[in-house]
Amino acid sequence: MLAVQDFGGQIDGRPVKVIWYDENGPQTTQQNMQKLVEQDHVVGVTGGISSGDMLAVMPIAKRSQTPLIVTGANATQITGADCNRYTFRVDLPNYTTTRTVYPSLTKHGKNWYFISASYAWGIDGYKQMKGLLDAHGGKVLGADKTPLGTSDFSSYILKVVSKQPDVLFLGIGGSDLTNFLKQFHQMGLTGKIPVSALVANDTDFWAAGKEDATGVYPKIWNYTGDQNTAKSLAFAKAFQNKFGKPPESEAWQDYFGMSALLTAIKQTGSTDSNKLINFLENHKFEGYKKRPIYFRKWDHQLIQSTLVAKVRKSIPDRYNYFKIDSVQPAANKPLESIYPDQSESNCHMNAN
Amino acid sequence: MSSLASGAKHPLTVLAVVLGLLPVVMPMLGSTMSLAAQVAIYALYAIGFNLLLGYTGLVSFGASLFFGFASYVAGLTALHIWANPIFAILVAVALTTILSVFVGLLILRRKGIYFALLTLAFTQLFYEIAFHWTDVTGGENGLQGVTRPGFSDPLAYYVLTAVIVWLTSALMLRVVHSPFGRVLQIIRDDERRALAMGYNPHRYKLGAFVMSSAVVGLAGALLTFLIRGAYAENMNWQHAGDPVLMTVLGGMHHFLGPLWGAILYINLQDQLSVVTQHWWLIFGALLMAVVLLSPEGLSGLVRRFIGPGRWTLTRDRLPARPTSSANRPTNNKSPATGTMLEVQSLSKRFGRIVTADCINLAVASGSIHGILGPNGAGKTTFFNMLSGLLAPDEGTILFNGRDITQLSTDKRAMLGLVRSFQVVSVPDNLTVFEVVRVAAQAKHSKRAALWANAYAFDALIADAWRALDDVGLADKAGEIISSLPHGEKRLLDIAIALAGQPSMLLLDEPLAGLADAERETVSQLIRRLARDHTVLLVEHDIDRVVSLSDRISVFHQGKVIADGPPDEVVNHPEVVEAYLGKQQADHQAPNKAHAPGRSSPPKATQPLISLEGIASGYDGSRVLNELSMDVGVGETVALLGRNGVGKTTTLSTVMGILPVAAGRIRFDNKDISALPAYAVNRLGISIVPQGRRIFPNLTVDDNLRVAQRRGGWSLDDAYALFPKLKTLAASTGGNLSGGEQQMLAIARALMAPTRLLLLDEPFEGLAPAIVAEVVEAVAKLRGQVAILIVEQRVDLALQIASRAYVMVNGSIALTASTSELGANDERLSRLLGV
Amino acid sequence: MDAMLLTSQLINGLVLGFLFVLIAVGLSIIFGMLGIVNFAHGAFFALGAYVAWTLKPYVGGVGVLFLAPLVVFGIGLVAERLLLRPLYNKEPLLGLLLTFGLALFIEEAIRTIWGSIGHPYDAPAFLSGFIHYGPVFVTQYRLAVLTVTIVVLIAVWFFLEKTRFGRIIRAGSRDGEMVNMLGVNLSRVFMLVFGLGTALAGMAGVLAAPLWSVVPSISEQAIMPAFVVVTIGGLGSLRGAIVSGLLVGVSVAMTIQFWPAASGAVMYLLMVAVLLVRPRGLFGETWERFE
Repeated sequence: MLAVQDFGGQIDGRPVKVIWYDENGPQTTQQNMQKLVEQDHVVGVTGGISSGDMLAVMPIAKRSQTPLIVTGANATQITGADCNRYTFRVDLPNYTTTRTVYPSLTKHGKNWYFISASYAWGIDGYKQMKGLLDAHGGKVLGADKTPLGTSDFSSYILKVVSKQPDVLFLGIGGSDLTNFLKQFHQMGLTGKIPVSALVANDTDFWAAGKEDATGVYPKIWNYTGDQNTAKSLAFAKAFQNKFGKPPESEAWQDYFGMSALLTAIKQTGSTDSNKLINFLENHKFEGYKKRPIYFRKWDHQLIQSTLVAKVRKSIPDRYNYFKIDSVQPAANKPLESIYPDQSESNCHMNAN
Repeated sequence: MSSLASGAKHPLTVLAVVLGLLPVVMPMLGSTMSLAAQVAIYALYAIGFNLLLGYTGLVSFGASLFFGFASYVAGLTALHIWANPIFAILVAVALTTILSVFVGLLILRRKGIYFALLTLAFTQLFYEIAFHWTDVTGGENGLQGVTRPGFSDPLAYYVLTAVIVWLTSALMLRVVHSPFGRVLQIIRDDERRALAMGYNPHRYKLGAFVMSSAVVGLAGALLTFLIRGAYAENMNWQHAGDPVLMTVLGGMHHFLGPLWGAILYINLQDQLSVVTQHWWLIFGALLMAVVLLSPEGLSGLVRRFIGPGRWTLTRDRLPARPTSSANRPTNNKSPATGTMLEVQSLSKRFGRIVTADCINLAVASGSIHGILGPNGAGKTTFFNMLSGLLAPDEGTILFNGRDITQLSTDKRAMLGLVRSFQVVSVPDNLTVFEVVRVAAQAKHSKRAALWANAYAFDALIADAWRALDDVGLADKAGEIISSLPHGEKRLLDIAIALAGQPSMLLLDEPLAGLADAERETVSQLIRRLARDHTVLLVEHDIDRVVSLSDRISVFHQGKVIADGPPDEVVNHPEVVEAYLGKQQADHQAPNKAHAPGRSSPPKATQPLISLEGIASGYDGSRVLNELSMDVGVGETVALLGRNGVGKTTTLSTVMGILPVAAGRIRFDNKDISALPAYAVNRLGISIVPQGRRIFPNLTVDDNLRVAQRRGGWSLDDAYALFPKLKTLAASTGGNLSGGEQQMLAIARALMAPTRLLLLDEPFEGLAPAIVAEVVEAVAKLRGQVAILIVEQRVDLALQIASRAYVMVNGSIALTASTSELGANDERLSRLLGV
Repeated sequence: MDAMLLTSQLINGLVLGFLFVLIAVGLSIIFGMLGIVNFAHGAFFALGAYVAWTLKPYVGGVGVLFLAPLVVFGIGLVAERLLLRPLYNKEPLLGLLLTFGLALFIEEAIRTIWGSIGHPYDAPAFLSGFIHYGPVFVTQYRLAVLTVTIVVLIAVWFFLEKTRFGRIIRAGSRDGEMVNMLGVNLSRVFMLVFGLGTALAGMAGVLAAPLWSVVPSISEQAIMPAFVVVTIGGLGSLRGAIVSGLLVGVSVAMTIQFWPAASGAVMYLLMVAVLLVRPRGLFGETWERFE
C-alpha cells in the first residue's frame, strides 16, 4: 500500500487497484489466486509468506501467465527445482541465509547442535548448514526434528544441554521460535550457548520479549542501522506513521515486491505480462539497498545484500532488537557469491 | 400435470438445475468457475457424509480423513503412475473404500460420543502422518503440479465434476430408498429395535460407513484435480468439521440439505473473506444462530413455512395395497404339538442381586403362556435373556429343539423368535407403514439390497399392510410415528413384531399404560394372534392373563414359584403371598399394633395437599384425568391401583417433574402447580422414587448429605432410623443391595425438611425380612410427616395407611378409610384385579 | 548424563501432563454434568492467557493467576446462560456444533481484539532461575507450575468430594432429575459448573502463557490434548483424567527423546489403542446417556 502511495496511486493516469485476499493454507490460497486470475484479471500478484502456499499458487501463475512476485517465502525450490518464468522471489533461500550467518557463528566453535522443524524448509536448512559445517571440518553433535506447532521445547533443550554444543542452530520459525527462545531463557541458557536460526522475523522476537531474545541471525532488512538507504528509511518512517510501529523485515519485502511490480508497469507502460517479465529480468533496482539489486534472469531470485543481525545487549524499546553486525557479502565480493550458481541450482526454467 | 410438478420437485431435477445454474450465477456474484466446481465437490462431500449423519445417525469427524486420503491417492497416482484424471479418481475411490473397511471395523465397535471422539482421533492421526511424511505427501507444502489432461479448461472440468456429482447423487438417492437404506433409518432411531427385527446393525453401519467414505473419497479425488494438488490441511481437526457444518447448515434430514449447506458455506466464506479479515467472527456467530434457532438448518427453515414441516427422508406416498392379499400365508403356522421353547436352569446375577435364579420353563407350541409376578420379580430380565439382549450366566435356551443360548438377537429373530418391548420401542421419524414394512423385509432375500426400490416388493408390502390390518392401524399408515398417541404406539410395537413372520411372539407387558378400551382391543388381538403363533406374555393385568393364557408361570424374586394351568396357579399359596403378603396368605388378621393410624378419623380436617381436577401425562399421551385427592397434615394415605393407571405419574406431577395440563395442586394453601421440582421440594415435599434412584457413585454418607438442608434430619437421625446404614456409611450407593438402597432412599428424602413424604413402591423387589424392617421404619414416621404411599402390595399399604385411594385409568375410583377396607374387600379385588 | 536427561525429561512430561490434566478436568466436569463436549474449551484456555497478558501490568504475575480465571469464569457463565441452556435435553450433536461455533467465534474475537501476532509473556521474575539437583534439571517456573497445578487439583478434588456443591455435581452427573427433586436448582448448578470448568481452562492458560507463547493458535494446542486425555481417562472421571494426563504428558516427552517425528502422533495412537481395548477409557464407567 505504501508502495502504491509512492507511485501516487496511479500509473500514467490509470488508477492502481489493489485486490487483497487471504493467505490461509495452500488450498485457500490456491483458490484465492485462481480468483485473482480468473475473475479479477490482475496484472500481477505479489505477497506470500508460507512456502507451501506459494508452491501451490506458482503453477497458476504459470498457467495464466501472470507475474507473481513472492515476497516472504523462502523454500529453495521456489527459485530452484520448481522455478518458472512467471515467478520471482524477494526473500532469501536457505543457501543464502546459511552462508550469511555461518562466518559469524563458526568463531564460537565447530561442534554444533541442530533443531529443525520437520518439514521441507527446516530440513533443507539443516542440510545446507550441515553441508557448510562438514566442508569446514565441523561436527554435528545432534540434530532433532520437531513437529510444526511444537509448544514445548524443554525436552529438546535438555538434549542440547546434555551435549554442550558450541553453537545451536535452529531451523524453526514463527511462534515455534518464540516458544523456543522463552523456554531457552527459562532454562537459564540465554547467553550461555550461542544461538542462531535460518530466519529472524521481527515479530517472533517481539513476541518473545526482551529478556528472552538472544542470538545472531541472518536478516534481509532491518529498520535501523546505517546500511539503510534514504529510500528505505523513508519507507520505515511512513510505515511507522501509518501503523504506529516500525516495519518488520517482511513489510519491507512486501513493499519492495509491490514497488518492483509497479515500476515494471510504469516503465514498460504496459500490462502485458511478457513485457513485464522482460523488464523484471533485466532491471537493476537502485536505492532500495546500498548496492543495486536485481532479479537474476535464469532463476528469478532477487540478488541482494544480506545482514548479519545480532540481538542487542540492552534493547531500548519494544521493537528495536537488532544491531547490524555486518552486511554480506563483503563489499569487494559480488552479490551473487552468496547465492547458488547455475550448477548448484535445480532451476531449469526452459524445461519447466 | 401433477406428475410434471412432482417431477420438477424431484431432488435429482433440482440438483441438475442447481448444477446448471452454479457456473452462471456464481461468476455474476463475483466468484469463479473453479469456485462453482468446488461447491459441487463439497456438495458431494456433504451428501456422502450425510448418509452417516442424517440417515444412520452416526456423528463422525472421520469424513475428512477419507476426503484427504483420496485426495492424496489421486494426486500421487496422477503424478507417478498415469496422469489421466478418470483413472486416478477410480484408483482413489477404490483405495479409500478399502481403507474405510478397516477403519470402520475398528471404530464402529464404539457408540455415541466415544465413536465421535475416535473418528476425531483417527483423523488427527492421519493428519499427523500426512503432514510429516514429507517424502510421499510433500508434508506441509503438499503435492503440486497435478495436471488434468483433457479437462484443463475450467468449464470442461466443471462439466466433468457436475456430471460425476449428479450421477453419484442419483446413486445415493437410489440407495437411501433401497431396502438397505431404510434399515439404516431404523438403526438411527432405534438400534435395539433393528436388532430385534432380525437385522445385524453392525453390518449395516459398516456398509453405510464404507459407502459414505467412498463417496467422500470421490469428492476428495475430484478436489485434487480442481486445485491441481493435494494438501494435509483438509484432515486437521478444524476442517474435520467442514462436512458437519455444511450438512447442518443445509439441514441433515433432507436429501438435498447438504447441497444447500455447501452452497451457503463456500459462498459465504468467499464473500465474507473479501469484506473483512475477521469473517470467522460472523461465521461462528451464524453457526451458533443456526443451532439455536433452526437446528434443522436451511431446509428445516424453509419447510417450516412451506411443505410438510418435518423431515423428508422417506417418501410420503405409500405404495398401494396389493389386491391379492386375501389369502394369509400359512407356511409359518406352528406345529400343533410339542414344546416350542424350553428353558433350562437359566440364571443371571447383577452384582449381589440375583434377578434370575435357576429358571426352568417350557412353552408348548400354539399356546399362550402367561408370565406373572410382582414388580422386580425378574420378568423383564428373563425376556431379555430369551431375546438375546442379555447373556445368561448359566443355563440353556432351546427353541424348537435347537440350542440358541449363544445366538444374537437378530439371529433369534430370523429363526422366528420375535419380541415386543415393555417401554414402547419404535423408531420415531418414519411412517407407520415404513417401519412395519422394514420389519417384514427382514426375512426377505433382498433385505439388504442396495439397488432395488424399497417399495418394489409386492409381497413385503402385502405383509406390512396385513400386519397393520391385524392391529387396526391401517388407516394411520402414512403418519409419522412420533405423532402417534401412546396406545397406538403400543399396537405398532406389536405390528412390528408381527411383520417379522415369527413363529413365537414374546410380548412384554403389551397392556402397560393402556386405557380400558385399548386393553380390550389388544387382548382380542393377542387371542387372534395365538391362532397362528405361540405367544409368551408378560403382563401385570392378572385378570386378562388368566383369561388369555393356556398356562401360567409366576415369577418371584428371580424364581419360578408356580407353573401350571391358570386357575391352579392363582390359588397357589405362594402366589397369593407374593402378591398380597404373608399375613393375607396365612389368613391372619392384620396386626393392629402396627397400625395405630387406623384409629385416626378417615379424613383429616385440614388438608396439607390437595389435587383438584388434575390432568397430566407424557408428551402425546394424557395419563391423568380429572384426578382429585388430598392428604391431611400428618395423615398417611395409600394410593392403590393396577400397573399403568397413573400412580407414579401422579407423584411425578406433584413433584413438578411433569407439567400440570389442567387443574391445580395446592400445598399448604399455596398453588404449586407451576413450580419446578426443586422449589416443590423446598416447600417440604420429599420423594422416595420408584427404583430408589440412589446415586451409585456416591457413598451412603454423601447420598444423605446431598439432600441435607437446615431443618431436615441430621446424619444421626438417619442412622437412628436405619442402623444398618451406619455400618455402610462409606460404601458407594451402587454396591448396596435393594433393601439397603430403599432405606437410604427413605432416609435421603428426610434429610430435607419434610412435611409430606411421597413413597413410590418402597417394597418393590425386597426380601420379606427387609420388607418388615422398612415397614417398621415407615410406621415410625407416621404422624411426624404426612405420607402418600404408592404400593403394589395391598396388604402392606393398608397396614400402614389410614386411608386409601384406588385409581383406575388416571382418576380416583374409590376412597375409603383402611378400617373399612379389608384386603379381601371385594371392591378392592375388582378394582385391582387381584 | 543420560540419567539426568531421562529424569529431567520425565519431569517435563509431568509438567506437561499436569497442564493437560488441568485443562481436561474442566472439560470432564462439564461433560459429566451437562452432557456437552465443549469444543470451545481451548478457546477459553486461550482467553485465560490473553486476559492474563492484559491484566498483568496492573496486578502482577501472581495476581493474574487468580484474576484471569475469574474473568473467564464470568464469560463462561454468560455463554452457558445465553447459548447452552436452550440445548439441554436436545440432540447432543447440537451442543457439539454450538461449542464448535463458539470456539470459532472466540478465537476470531481474540484475533480481532489482541491481533494475530504473539505477545511476550514472561514468568514472574522470582521464578526465572532453574534448579539443578542431582539428576534433576528443571526451571523454577516449571516447578512452580507443577506445584500450582497439583494444589489446584487437590482443591478441585476436595471441592468435589467434600463440599455440598461438589456432591451435587457428582450426584447430578448421574441423575440430574433426582438432584432436582432433592431441592437443588439444577439450571444454576449447570451454569456454575460450566463457569468452573472454563475457569480451570483459563487458569491453565495463565500458567501456560510463559511456557508457550500468547498467540491465537494457543487454543489449538490445548483442545486436542484435552480431548485425548479425557477420552483415555474415561469421560467424567477425575481420577482418569489425572492418570491419563500424566500418561500422555510423559509419553509425549519420551517420544520427543527417542523419536521426535512421532511426538505429534503419539497421543492419538495412545487414544486409539486404549479405546479399542477399554471402550470407556481407563476409568470410565457405563453411562447409559452417552452411548
